[in-house]
Amino acid sequence: MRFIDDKSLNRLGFKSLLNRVETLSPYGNEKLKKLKNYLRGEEEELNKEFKKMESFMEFSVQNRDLVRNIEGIIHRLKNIKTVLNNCLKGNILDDVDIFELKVQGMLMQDLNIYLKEFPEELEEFGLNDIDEMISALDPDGEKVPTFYVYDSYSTKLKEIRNIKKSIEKEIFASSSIEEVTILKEKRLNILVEEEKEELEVRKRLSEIILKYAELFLENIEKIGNLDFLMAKTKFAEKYGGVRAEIAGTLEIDAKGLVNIEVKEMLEKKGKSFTPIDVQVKSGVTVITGANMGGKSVALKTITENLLLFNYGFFVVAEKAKFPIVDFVFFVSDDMQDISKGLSTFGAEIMKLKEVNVFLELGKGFVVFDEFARGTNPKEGQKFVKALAEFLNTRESISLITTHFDGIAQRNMNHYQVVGLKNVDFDKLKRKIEISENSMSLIQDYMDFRLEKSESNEVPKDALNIAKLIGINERFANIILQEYSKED
Amino acid sequence: MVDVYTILNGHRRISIIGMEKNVGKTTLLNFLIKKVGDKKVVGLTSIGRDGEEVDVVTSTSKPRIFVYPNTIIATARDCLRNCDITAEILYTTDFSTPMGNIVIVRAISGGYVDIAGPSYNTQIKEIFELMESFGSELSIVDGALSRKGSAMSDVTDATILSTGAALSLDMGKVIDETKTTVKMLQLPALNNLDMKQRIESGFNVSRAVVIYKNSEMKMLEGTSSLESVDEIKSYLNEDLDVIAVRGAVTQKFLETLIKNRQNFRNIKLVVNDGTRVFTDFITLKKIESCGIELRVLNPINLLFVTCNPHSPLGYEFPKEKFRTLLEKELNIDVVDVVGERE
Repeated sequence: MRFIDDKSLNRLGFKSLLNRVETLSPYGNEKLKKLKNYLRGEEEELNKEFKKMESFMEFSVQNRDLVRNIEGIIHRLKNIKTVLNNCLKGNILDDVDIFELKVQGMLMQDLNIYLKEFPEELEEFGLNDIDEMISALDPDGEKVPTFYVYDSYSTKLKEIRNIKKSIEKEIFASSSIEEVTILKEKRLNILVEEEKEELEVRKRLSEIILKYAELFLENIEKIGNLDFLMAKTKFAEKYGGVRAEIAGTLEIDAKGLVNIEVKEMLEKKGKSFTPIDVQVKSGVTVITGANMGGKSVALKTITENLLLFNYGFFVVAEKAKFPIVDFVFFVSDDMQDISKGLSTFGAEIMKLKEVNVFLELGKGFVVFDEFARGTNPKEGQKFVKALAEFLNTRESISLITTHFDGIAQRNMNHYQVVGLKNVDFDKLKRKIEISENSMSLIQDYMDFRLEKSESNEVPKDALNIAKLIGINERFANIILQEYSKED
Repeated sequence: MVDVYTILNGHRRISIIGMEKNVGKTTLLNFLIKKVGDKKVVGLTSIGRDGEEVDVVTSTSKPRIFVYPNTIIATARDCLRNCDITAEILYTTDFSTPMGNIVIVRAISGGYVDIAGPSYNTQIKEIFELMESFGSELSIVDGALSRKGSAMSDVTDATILSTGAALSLDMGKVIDETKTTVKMLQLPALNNLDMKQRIESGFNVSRAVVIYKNSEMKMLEGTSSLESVDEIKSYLNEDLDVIAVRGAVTQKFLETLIKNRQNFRNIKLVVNDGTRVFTDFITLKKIESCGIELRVLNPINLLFVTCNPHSPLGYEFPKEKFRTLLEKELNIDVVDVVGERE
């Protein structure tokens, strides 16, 4: 089953989040690019992965220099898998190929000395012994990271090269063009001999390398995994990630969830991110709240961390419990669909069809951000109500946000963004009057936290917010008349 | 007689550039190797490809580069197969070319090499650093056809220009054109350091800038040389002091200035270095008489000029006459690389 579609990933900006995970080698990068989510039933594997990350973090605190050396070596590795695969196909390697293998092999030897210091929990990263292969590529035991088909591989080669050398000496010494031409002719014949003998040697070496190719590839795999693991721990350390508990049932229980990108954006403006506390279970959770209250940010924060968890990362929170899910959907207003000729509403209904198929097949996590906002409110409200009831009976976690009243029923989870509920409007208005940036002030007073709500009414903050931002007085009067008509 | 070894001795990185294909750049390279190769570790690379057995452009047979043992070579992987030296692989880079990534090798034996280096100046700089780390004492970059840019002073500290009969049937024309190029390569530096800094910062945002006598600076909006040709007209007035162009200064651009000479008085035209000006002998004369002084941000150290009296098309200039005439006109040492070998 597909875990998540590209569109959902794009809406969440998850790929740019992953750009913050810094691998050191192409091998680690490959792991990051081919990210795999853990499946239900793999709780034990995920636990082990988390444990390894913790072990490594602990180890690296006490062995900073050693870890820096490990990083230094991994950083120098190039992707030479094609060379090994060519060797496995039975090709004879050329000297640049053999050079690459020798250099990387020597780096692996160095790396392995450090890896032997790892604690028991990280033992699996220890590399296979390829010393014999390296010795074959370094017949004179020079331990220098360069390569050519050395004279000592074959006495015949040595003899050929000696003749070649003596002819070259004559060439360099000669000042007659005719003589040089004859000498160069002579040299050409020797070259053919040299090439033939070099080929023989390379053939022999390729056979030796072939014996070690699988082991070498295994080492590459281990290094890729280690690189990726280190990148994940660094990511966690940098952004305040914690190991989440693996939920046995479909539930999320998190305290202090953070969205890294929004947090950084706010901090740049000198503001702080309000971490989100949330508890949701299988069935539907309705989130309501004022405009500008951060409903969408809340959705993204929860989903992003759920994804991190399912991909084997630590989550950015104070404390959290997440489930492994089969699939994730994040449906929100999407301009791309509109350009395809579908209205927002049309696109949502299409997506709903797809979601339904997945709901039949597994247990997942589904988000609908302001479903049916694009159609007329009277029908829209009915659609959202139906969606909520429909999702509530499914064995999946669903989050929906809405501005419509009467969606959340007693048997549903209902959260409200605190918003401007506790704010003294008159005081804020006075402040805004003397301030230049009303938007920013409103955001300062906006309480982004989610709180459980028993009411099925949505907060009516639109007029208040509009007034704070500042609207034409005559327009405000007309609106007020409309409000009083309704009452 | 010019003592080439002594001239080269003070330099670590030099470039050789040719007036035209087949003017004997490879012969020059072999000549330099012969002069230095057994005394110093030479490092060789090129901008782009050179050293084919048959010239791919004119299909005339070309001389090949023959190196001493211990020479360090940076060339594309596919070209390595065409080298017949016993090569020790020292380093493989990520610089890609149509002929594979650039590899750095040391010649264990002497022999022919086929050199195709990286395509960008910044990469050449890194290649130089790598070659030096492997022991190169004199690193030479061979600029390929119309790549006079490899003379750029931020990459090398000296340059040799190669000219020859291949340029034109008319010896007078060869001498004139060479003279123009030498003049360009020897353009004096802009001495006003403060102004140099302002221009360089202007180049970060704009292709061309103008500075007036009251030191007001304006950026041109055009992004190509074609656009600047039209745009520059509206900036010309009596108070104009400097026009600085980041990229190439074309013949067209110069002609525009000449045509509008009544609109300005004594200005400096500043370019990055002398390889960026594309013009001929006559235009250059006109420029001077219009009160336009050419200045460069990065001057080039031109060591000497080499000449090749043979043309691959079959004709030949009188050897000694060609050389002495060049030397007299250019006011710089001229070496006949073919003549010297014999």
